[in-house]
Amino acid sequence: MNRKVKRRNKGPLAREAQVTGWLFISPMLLGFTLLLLFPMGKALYMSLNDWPLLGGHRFVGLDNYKDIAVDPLFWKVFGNTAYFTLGLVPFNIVLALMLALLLSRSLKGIGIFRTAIFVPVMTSLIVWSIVWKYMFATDSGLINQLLMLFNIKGAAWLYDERLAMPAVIVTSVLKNVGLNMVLFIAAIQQVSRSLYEAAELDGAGKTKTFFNVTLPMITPTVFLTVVMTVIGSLKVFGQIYVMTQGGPSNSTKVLVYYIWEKAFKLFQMGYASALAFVLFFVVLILTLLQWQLRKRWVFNEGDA
Amino acid sequence: MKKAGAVLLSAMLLGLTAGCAKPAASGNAESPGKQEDVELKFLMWGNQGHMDVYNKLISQFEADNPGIKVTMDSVPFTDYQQKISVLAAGKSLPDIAWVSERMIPQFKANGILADVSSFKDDASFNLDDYIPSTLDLFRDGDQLLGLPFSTPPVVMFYNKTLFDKANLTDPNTLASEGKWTWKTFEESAKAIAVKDAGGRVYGANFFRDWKTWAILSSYAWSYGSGPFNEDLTAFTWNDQYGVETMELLERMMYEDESHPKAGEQISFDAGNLGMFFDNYSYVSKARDIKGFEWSIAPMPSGSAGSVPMLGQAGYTLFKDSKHPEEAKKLLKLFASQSGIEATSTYFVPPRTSVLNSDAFLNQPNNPPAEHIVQAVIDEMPKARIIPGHIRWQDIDNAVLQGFDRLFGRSASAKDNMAKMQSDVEAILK
Repeated sequence: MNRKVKRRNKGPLAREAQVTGWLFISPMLLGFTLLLLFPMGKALYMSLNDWPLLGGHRFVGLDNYKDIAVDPLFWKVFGNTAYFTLGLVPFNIVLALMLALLLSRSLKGIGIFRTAIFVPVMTSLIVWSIVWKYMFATDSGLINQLLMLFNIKGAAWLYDERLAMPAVIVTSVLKNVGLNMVLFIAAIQQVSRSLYEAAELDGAGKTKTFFNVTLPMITPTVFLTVVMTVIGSLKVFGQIYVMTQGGPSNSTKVLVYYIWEKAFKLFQMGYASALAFVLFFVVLILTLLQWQLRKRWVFNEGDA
Repeated sequence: MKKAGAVLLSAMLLGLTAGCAKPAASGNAESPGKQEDVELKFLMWGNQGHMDVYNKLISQFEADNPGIKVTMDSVPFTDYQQKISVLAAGKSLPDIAWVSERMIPQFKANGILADVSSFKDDASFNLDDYIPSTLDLFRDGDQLLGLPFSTPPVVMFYNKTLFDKANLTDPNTLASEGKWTWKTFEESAKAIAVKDAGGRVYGANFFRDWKTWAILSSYAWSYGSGPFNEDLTAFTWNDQYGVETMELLERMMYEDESHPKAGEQISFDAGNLGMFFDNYSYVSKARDIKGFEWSIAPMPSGSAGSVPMLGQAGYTLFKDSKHPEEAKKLLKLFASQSGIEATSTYFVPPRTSVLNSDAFLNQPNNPPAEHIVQAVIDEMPKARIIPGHIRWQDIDNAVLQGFDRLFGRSASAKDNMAKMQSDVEAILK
């Protein structure tokens, strides 16, 4: 490839074509450089400095990263992020798949159910979180009021160290499950009818058909949703900010919230930038890992 | 064709960059040159009532100073310090702003506050009218880094109608007889509370937004102790009185169920809350209450009497203001006798002449004047201020986590206080 391009570059006509090409992509390139590449470079530089919001900064090399390695709160936050991700991703994917199986059939009025589950995706995350915060309230919350009807004394959902994270996970799953469901419905409806007929002729039951026909055929979509959901859950912030502010006792403090707190509450910009780069590499490594593993389990990829 | 495309594109790009540059250029044109273009920015955290008072002052100022325009912005108190810090970093600070005692150590350390000590020599301003102790917070060597407009002690707002319903003597009467103790307070709260889900009534609430733990310092203060030592170098709440504070709150929340549980939004003006602690400035909201009778009373007392927490708020100017002279003029109006008189509708005035005037006491819909004298003016000499600290945010976080443990019932009051002490002292070191 490279050699070919080089050869083509030689002609004056080709050079002009190249200039035009660069000009055509320049708006995007300009935006990318100014709004993404430059801030990222600056953040990398900040992460190597002791950088208060006001006043001068001081180059400290890798000290911020060394501090992160021994910061007990960072490891707690890291664990919380892992807890959130491991709690949310399987729950979200399995629920989305189950809903998709239920709702992929074309029955009368099925649209209403699909819409009902998809509407939260379109709602503002902040509004959704505020509503759930009120529903989880200890005495006056809807959930505990409902439990009261059955004479069950509900817990202090968002103020109990063991319950706050599951509560946030449930809120987040219900918010976003609709998106994955829609993707699954589309994938399921793409599976060729002839495969089902063949399975039926071979005497496969419903479970067998699902595991041996439907699931393998939609693995590209499963892969896509898993990657997107993992990245999304590593970057969770809004729900935490609204519902728990990282509490009680740091039990729901996740990485992005910690970055925000360090940067905009405690004004340790350098340390916050270093944390952001740690998150960047975590996301990068996880995505590369998933990409590698894809070859093992993703089936039916068009161009493979 | 290709060439034309390239030219067109570069023209578009040029236009784009020029478009970006434009606002900055016109921004420059605004400064000194033309007189009528001066715009002063005033930042505060007040509510609509406060803004109405300032709008009157501002239109008076604009009439007296043609060519100067003042714009006022309000930012919620919880975000305020953060907002100012970010604005300072972005070099877009307002010209004049409210600050509270919490924020001053940080802003002092950042070196962003402007000196206003020249008011000392201004006879018409009469700085001597200010109660000297109210200026302490703003002094820095010979410099004066701001002027107070409000020095409110925390008072107890109570719902008289609920007290009557529960056949209780009101706190003002008890206080004047010296019987308004923490024990009576706790019992009153229990008597007022109604646990039915339908007509739920709470006895008392210490928390405005589940962050105002500092109000609880009064318990330890009233027994001669307190959360911190004088200069905030040691955490002293981990003693008998600190533990008792936590136990009191625990009993009220979980045994008597007279205090709302963490996260509940129970507001005093809704009428289902017996007692509520807040700065005197909350009268601005309470005056609109229609459904029940209310008044204010002193904090409950311990063996050393009653000790409320004192808040302080003032005006400051910023060093890199583009219009320092005009900003000073506006400050002079806000902080003058007539300015302080106007804001005393809502704020406890720092000027002796205004504090002792009938105008402060007899506002429409105010609680009875004798209650204001009892709960505010007589309490002020005893009031304590929590000294500021450059790492206050961290300290605040550590203490709030202790309250999280209490709300989640994951630690006994004793262990909780011990943990709080080790967390806070790690920051103070």
